[in-house]
Amino acid sequence: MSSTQFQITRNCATLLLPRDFGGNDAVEIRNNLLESLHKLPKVNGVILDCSNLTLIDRLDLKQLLDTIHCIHLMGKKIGFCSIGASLAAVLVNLNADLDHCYFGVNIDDAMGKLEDR
Amino acid sequence: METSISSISKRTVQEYLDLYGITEKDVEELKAIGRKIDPAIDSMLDQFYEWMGRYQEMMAYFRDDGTLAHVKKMQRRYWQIFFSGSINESYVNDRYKIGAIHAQIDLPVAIYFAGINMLYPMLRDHSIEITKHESNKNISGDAAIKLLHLDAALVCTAFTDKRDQMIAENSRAVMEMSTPVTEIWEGILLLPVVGIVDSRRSEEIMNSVLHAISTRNAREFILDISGVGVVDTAVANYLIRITKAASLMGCESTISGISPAIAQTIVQLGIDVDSVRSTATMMDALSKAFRRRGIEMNSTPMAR
Repeated sequence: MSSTQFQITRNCATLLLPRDFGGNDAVEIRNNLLESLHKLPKVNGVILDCSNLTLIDRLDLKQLLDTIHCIHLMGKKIGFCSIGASLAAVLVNLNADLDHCYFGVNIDDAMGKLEDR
Repeated sequence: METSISSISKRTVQEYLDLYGITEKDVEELKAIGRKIDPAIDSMLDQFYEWMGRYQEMMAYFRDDGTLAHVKKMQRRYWQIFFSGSINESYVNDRYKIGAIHAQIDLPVAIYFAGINMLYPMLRDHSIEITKHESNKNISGDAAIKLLHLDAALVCTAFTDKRDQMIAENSRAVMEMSTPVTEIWEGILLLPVVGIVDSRRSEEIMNSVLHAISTRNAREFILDISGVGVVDTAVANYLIRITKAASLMGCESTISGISPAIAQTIVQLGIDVDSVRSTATMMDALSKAFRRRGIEMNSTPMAR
């Protein structure tokens, strides 16, 4: 992956996580996302769109959690949308700490929840 | 020769003498030269000040004729002690003090050494002259040079000590200025940190913050680190500890302006980030603190 593409709508950045999220790509996504958030102080939340992400292993989950912890530390809200059944089961089974995240059925739903809080 | 520990440096007088190879024979030589050179000291000093007079830069240190006369008098005494051969703790202390005075008036080391360089041939010539006319052929002039080098070393030590002291004082002052814990509202403390934060500075920040929380009975503390680019894991750990310690004192802590690099460092530490209250900007942190304290901020149009 050469660059991290995300859209900004209503002061919220939406990032579509790739199907093969993990490894060096995950590190690159994190670095690009954090740098962009730092340059865009008006963005107050990030929605991670999991439409393409069906499965994740423990190592890649750690990368994902590190990313959302960094976003949290930078004072931004984090939302997830379009988490499928298989991914939901994996996240629960791996005890993923997602306490400070918001979850929506789709992007609009997640964005609405982020704006409410 | 007395052997005691100098109050200034960690070396004993004997260690100095050994280091510069000054022996009993050298001391005897100094005394022998001293007995003969005493009447020539004044002319030596006249030559020295005549040479100095050619340099405006050097003469700038003498405000008036009175100062010049006083310094000449002191220098005469300097050479009398030099050739007395009593190299003891008091001698070392005196030479060190001379260096401290030079450092105090900001005399460049280069000028000091130019003076030494000027005096060296005069001392050598006088020593040769004495050797010529006296039966004492053992006088080589080496003793005076060895002691001159020891004097220069002590003066330089004083110079560096003075500089070290100034640097330490300046860094202490900068440190105090760099942790301005300010009570921006009743019960709300704000500390904006800018620049490089190392372990020492973070310790200083922690002390200042906890002291301020305790003395001002603060309920909210905002640590704004938007002016800090990167920190190492030890400093990141310190920052988290500051907020935790503040919480233990009943003060709600918020870190604002965490950069991507610092966020990644904190996450690498494996700290439970849920326990860290953070905001993107200082403004967010302030408005949240106001809200928690029940303070409402309203913008009203300015009266004209």
